Amino acid sequence: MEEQKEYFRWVESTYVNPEMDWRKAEIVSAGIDVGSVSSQMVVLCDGALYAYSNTRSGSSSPSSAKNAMDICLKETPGLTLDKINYLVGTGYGRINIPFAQKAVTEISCHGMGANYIYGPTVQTLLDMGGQDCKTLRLNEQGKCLNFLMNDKCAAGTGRGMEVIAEILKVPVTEIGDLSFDIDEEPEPVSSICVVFAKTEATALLKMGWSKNKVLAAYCGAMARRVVELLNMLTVEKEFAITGGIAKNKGVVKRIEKLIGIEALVPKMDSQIAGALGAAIYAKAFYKRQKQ
Amino acid sequence: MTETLKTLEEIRKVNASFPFSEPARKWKEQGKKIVGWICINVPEEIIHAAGMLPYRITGGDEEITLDRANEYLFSGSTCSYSRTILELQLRGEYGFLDCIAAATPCEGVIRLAEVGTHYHNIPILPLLDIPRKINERAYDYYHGEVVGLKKNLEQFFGITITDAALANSIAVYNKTRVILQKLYDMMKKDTPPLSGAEMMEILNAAVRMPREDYNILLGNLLKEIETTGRALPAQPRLMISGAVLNTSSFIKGVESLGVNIVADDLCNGSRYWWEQVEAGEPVRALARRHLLAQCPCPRTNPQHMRSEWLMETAREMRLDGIIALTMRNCAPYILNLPMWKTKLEDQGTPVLDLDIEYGGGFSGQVRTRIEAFVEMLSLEVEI
Repeated sequence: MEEQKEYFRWVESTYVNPEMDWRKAEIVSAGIDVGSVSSQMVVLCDGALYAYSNTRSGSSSPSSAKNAMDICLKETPGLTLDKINYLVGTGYGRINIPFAQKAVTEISCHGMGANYIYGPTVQTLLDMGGQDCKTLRLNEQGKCLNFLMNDKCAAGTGRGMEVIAEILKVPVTEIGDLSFDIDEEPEPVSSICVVFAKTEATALLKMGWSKNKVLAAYCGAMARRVVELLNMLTVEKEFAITGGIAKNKGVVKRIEKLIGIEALVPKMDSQIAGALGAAIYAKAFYKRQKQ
Repeated sequence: MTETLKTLEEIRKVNASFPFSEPARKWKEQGKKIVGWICINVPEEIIHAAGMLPYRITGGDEEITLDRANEYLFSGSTCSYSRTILELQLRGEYGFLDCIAAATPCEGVIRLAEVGTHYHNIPILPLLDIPRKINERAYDYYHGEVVGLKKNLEQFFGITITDAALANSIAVYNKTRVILQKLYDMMKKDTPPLSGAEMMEILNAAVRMPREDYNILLGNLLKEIETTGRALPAQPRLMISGAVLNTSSFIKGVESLGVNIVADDLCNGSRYWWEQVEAGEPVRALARRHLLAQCPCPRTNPQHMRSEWLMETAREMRLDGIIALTMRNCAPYILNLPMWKTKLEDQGTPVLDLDIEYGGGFSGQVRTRIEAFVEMLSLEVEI
């Protein structure tokens, strides 16, 4: 039987800083972000990034959290849950993480995480998650001053992209590059509704459009939808993006073109922003607890 | 000190049987009549003076499926409030009403009245038209409409409504306004005596029972609060703003995230009881009060009166934030929101724009937004 290729699949990953020894840290804090599509765990040693995992979410939040943790801690020699001083849960599954001491929304956590990844100059953060899309106004400390969420429409979300990948049989990780391998930038598709994507894509391909051109049209439509959301809160420099779609050049470049501002380049995997922010809060809660 | 108040238990009994409350049932058993009303621009005092029980038509404390109502009112362009009311009517749950008195605040209510008349047996009096502008000519016009309502009631029931009866009814309803204002003033404390959810239960009961009995309950409630010294813990202070909201369970959900709802800008809240009827010729006085826009409805014009009331309330109640409930297709509320949102934000009161359906519960999506808003207001950490 031929193996059914899954185009929506992206590679799970882990990271551990080989130069850090967690035993030397005063505070080992952690964050777990259980999202609808992906789950991450981040471990900080005295507020500096030590280790993380980036995994696919399962059907239950507690098991997704445990899975992210198991995969992360497999890489950290000797570090087990009981050695972690404080753990904060975030994301859609945040209240169902049995081993978290506290839950903080992904909005606050993304702000804090983005501040770590991108620095204090970020004022506008765009998070394109698995099933929602949000824009945040941040201050220099990474605190959220205002936000807008869209969690009713798949356009501008990871799930939306996965649907396009499946329809066009293109690995989701290759969409970005392919969308630029075209002669001319097409008009964005008229109906951004992901429910109708298959019908629209089929029609375009029948009209003689290449796959790449269809990809470009979809990336363009998603970018436009996302920019609508961004503009409702206005975009102030510096601008940064977190979430899986931050890795999709096809959408990112088109967003940058529409708003006339370039997004900051991350020095680490932007998908961990939520868990990272949660780990930062965990450290702060632990300090407060000790006082 | 947050024990349950005995009077609150009494109030809960009134709300327990919905929509046909125990007091309403007892009223009907005595052979008396009940007039349902929609929209606060229908002066209840006139219905009361006619010897009928004025009974507000609302949804209950839970979201219901609107399958039948959706067949009659297209859900893409009508609000869930009008469809909830229609659904309850189609299910026969408001069958105990003898007639309905409605006004014309918006298309939603107008269509509800028209469609409702068509599909259930409760007679509806000619609609009371409400002007949108607030000026002297508007008062004259509205006065004419209120006179019309009085005549229509008299004709329908074959009775006469005397000035003396009106004066008495006005006194009864003014008493409610005085006591509710006292309760509201108590919410100015850092440690308010009531939660927002409890206030909502108290407000819901007002329009489901004879007003004289309700005033007694309110009086008892005030006494009980004073003697017990009831005080909720000090927490961030929020206001719920919206078109209309009757679900105390929703407010309870919001408050469970660590906030006190100390004020409201709702059609069945402050906008309902604010401002007393003044002395003078009763019908004129009623018209003046019921159109008076000190606590104006989003539909009224000029809109600055509403913005000013909200800014003033934010200062007086020392609000940390406002949750604005935008119900889909509620044009008056949604289109009015931008007029005051930035003004409040500039004054230092953040506003959360939250879309929920009427009767909507406390879903995960709703919880996340409110929780993030509360974190924005109160989560301070040393990194």
